[in-house]
Amino acid sequence: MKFLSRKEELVLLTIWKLSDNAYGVTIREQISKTTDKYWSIGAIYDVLDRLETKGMVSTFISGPVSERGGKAKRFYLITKKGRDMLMEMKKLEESIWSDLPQLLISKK
Amino acid sequence: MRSSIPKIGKWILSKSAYYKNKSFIIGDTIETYDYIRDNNGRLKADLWFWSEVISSIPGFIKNFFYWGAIMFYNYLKVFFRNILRYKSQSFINLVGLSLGFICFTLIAFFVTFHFSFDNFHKNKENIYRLATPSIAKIPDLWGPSLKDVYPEIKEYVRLQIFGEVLVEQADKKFYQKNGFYADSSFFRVFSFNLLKGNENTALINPFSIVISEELSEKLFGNENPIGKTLVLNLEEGKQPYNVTGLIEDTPSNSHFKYSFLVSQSSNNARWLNNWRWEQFYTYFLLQGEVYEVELEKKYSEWIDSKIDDPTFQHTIDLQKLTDIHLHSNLHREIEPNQSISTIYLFSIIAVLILIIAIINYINISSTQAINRGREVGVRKSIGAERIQLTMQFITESIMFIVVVFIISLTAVYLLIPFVNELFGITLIESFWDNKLLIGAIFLIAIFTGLLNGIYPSLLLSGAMPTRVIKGNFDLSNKVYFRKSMVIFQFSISAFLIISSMFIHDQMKFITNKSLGFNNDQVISFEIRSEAMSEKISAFKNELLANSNISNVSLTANLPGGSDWGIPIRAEGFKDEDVPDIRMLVVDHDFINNYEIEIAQGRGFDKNFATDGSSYIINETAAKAFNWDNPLNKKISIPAVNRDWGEVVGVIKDFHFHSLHEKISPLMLFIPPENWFSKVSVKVKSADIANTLAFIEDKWEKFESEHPFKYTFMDEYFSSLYDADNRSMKLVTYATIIAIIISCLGLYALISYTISIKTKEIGIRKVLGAKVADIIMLISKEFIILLIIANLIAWPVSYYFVSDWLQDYAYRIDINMLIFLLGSVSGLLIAFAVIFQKVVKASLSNPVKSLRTE
Repeated sequence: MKFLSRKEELVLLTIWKLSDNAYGVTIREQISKTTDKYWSIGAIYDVLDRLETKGMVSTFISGPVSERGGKAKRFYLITKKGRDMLMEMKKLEESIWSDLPQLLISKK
Repeated sequence: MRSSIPKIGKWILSKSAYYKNKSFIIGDTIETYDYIRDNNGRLKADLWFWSEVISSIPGFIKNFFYWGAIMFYNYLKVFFRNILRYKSQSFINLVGLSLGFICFTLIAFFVTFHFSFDNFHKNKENIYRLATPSIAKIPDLWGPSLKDVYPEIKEYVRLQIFGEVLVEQADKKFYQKNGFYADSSFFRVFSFNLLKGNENTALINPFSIVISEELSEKLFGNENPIGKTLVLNLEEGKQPYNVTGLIEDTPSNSHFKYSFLVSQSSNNARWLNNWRWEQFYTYFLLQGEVYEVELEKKYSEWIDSKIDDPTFQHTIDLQKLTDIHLHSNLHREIEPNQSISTIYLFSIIAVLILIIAIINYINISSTQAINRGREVGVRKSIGAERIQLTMQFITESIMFIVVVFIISLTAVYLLIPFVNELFGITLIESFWDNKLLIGAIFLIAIFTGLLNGIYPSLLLSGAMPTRVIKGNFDLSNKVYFRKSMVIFQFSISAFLIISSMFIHDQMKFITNKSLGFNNDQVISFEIRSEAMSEKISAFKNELLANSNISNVSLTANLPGGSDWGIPIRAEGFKDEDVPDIRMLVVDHDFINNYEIEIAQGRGFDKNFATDGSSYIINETAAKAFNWDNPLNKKISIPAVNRDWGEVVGVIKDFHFHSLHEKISPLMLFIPPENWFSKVSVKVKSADIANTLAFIEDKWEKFESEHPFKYTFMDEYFSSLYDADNRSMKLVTYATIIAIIISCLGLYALISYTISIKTKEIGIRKVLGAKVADIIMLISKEFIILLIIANLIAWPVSYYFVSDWLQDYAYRIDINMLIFLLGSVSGLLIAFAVIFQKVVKASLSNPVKSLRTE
């Protein structure tokens, strides 16, 4: 099974977090805040498109909204496949974390 | 709230592939922009927005090329499939268009070659040749004396033809042509490269010679020729010359070709220091603004004032160096020049052929495009945009045209040696020299490709997909376009056929026209030394002893262009009113030798002791002098010290020039014996080889130094028409190619017509139509088109041919029969092409054709 990239995982988790209010603007805001890094709209949509082709998210389009210059919003919802994927990745990470030995840090 | 993102930015975003058709992304952008603006101010918002726009550009470019490549691959695949599917049409297209381009490129090379004459001189803009309105040479004193007076003349250089001369060096001995006496300013005026030697001093000392690479190779092999000595064996004796320079071989686009140059100071000819004897090609290097007309007037007046003789009025023509090759056609040109009208003729032919080929191509591809209605329909219905379809067609036709271009260029590359041979020229030194021309032709090719791609795509991509996809989309409303193309094309073919028939007829007329004298079996050769000249009568008598030699005449010049023109005085005329007259300087036997007929009086006769001072004129001269009875009228030629003498006879007009020129007034007279320089021998047709051997034998008895060299006069006369014959060849080839291309096009069109009429033919046959009816049905349309095409071609050809014939003083009448003949033969060829197709279609089994669908 092919895992998601770090970016994809982050975006997917953000969508989960935003539950029914996940669209371009909110996703970008949220993820910029959590990662404390600048994300461009293009970067967000690039990842969203990939998630969509992989079937991790489904989308629907709202009616036109006046404060957006009459443009529609495209909302994203996490699919079951997406959620399973996240769980799987979490499980894997936890299993690796759980039995790590005492860390020997090099002096240099 | 009104959205306020910058408009340009919005436009860029909407155009970028990434955001395309995703209006919600623009919505997101607007929302974020407004948010930032409300919280952080407008500047921040703008900054953010623009950084977003700029960061989207790399993605946009990547997408563009990614999808571009994918679509290109698809277009390529479809392109090859289509070629393979319609093999014959694609093949016809390829061959037709390539032929057109090959022909066009070759002629373009030819034409640019002629326009490039003398372009290599650095001073080409300021070099002028001085000539009179009739003759290309002027006397030697004019050049230097004008330079002394007028400061705008920076340099002058005078060339005098050396003539054919026997060159001797060690054991080598051969006749060499194309020598010139040249002033030492030669290299300051012209830009020929002196490879070895000093440009400033090479031509100063007497008996210095500058030789061409070719001559140097012949004489000295690979050795350095500078400082070596060679001997020119002249009429007045042997003269050693010191080689002071090695000059590059004359570029093939120079209006004169030299093999060696001799310093002017070695010249000791009779006509030196003379104001009247026109023997020198004189070139001026002018400085400052040049107003030709003004200078011509000024110089002419000055020369007239200098000569101060009312019989000797002169006008000076300044001919720009670069205009000489195409625009000058005077007596005594150094070499025959090309007439600009021939060059225009060739250019027109080249363009016409290219147009025919391109029309063909567009016609065939547009019919082919209709077959692709289904493909276009499918593409449209799955969302191809009009611009994409146009791009597809354009890509295809440009790929096609690039293939054609490569084929044509390769063919031209291979053909150029043959063209050089055919025309006796060196078109280009190296194929890639003419990059500009190749580039221009490439542009024409690409433009053709664009045109061809746009036309069908506009037809198809504009149509409703539902109509196109059904495959019953026909171009009935565009049929007029195609028909008019066929008419245009065949008009051009008919025009070329008719014109080339006329050109052919005219050439036949010229070569067969009776010249008024007989030069068959006449050989001529030059008297090459003074020793020979002194014993010339004895030589003549020895030749006459051979029974196979029927006549020998001695002359100072010969018909065919080397006649003289010196002012004369004539009874009843004031000196300034005497008409111009040409002269042949001959002996008693000349008239009999060339079988010239006598109209009045008698020929020269040895029984009349006074004939040494008498004259014979031709009928044109008699008319020009307006003498009712020319016999016993008196003429004198003071310039050569001939006193008054009587006209004893009038000869019938004969063509002593080529038939390009009208017969001009002519007089014959007998000079002192030492003037003779040429011998004409009439031999009997039996055993010519032996007779020639006999003459050579006698020659060697009198002349130990110079090898024997002769020409046949009839060959010499036909060589006057070399240029015409070459033009005729070119027009003939061009016509053949035009016919081939047009017929290819016609063949493809008729195939198409038949393929869409298959069902109609089937139904008609089932209902009882006869084969003849079907043939008529299909051919009718084409017959009408071809007839219209011919009717258009007639007046155009008439205009052209009558204009072209103006070049000839003696020409054929414009015979209407030729128009008919040309058209009929063109039509026959066209029918032969379509007939087989049509007959096959009409004989086909209707059951089969009805089953198609």
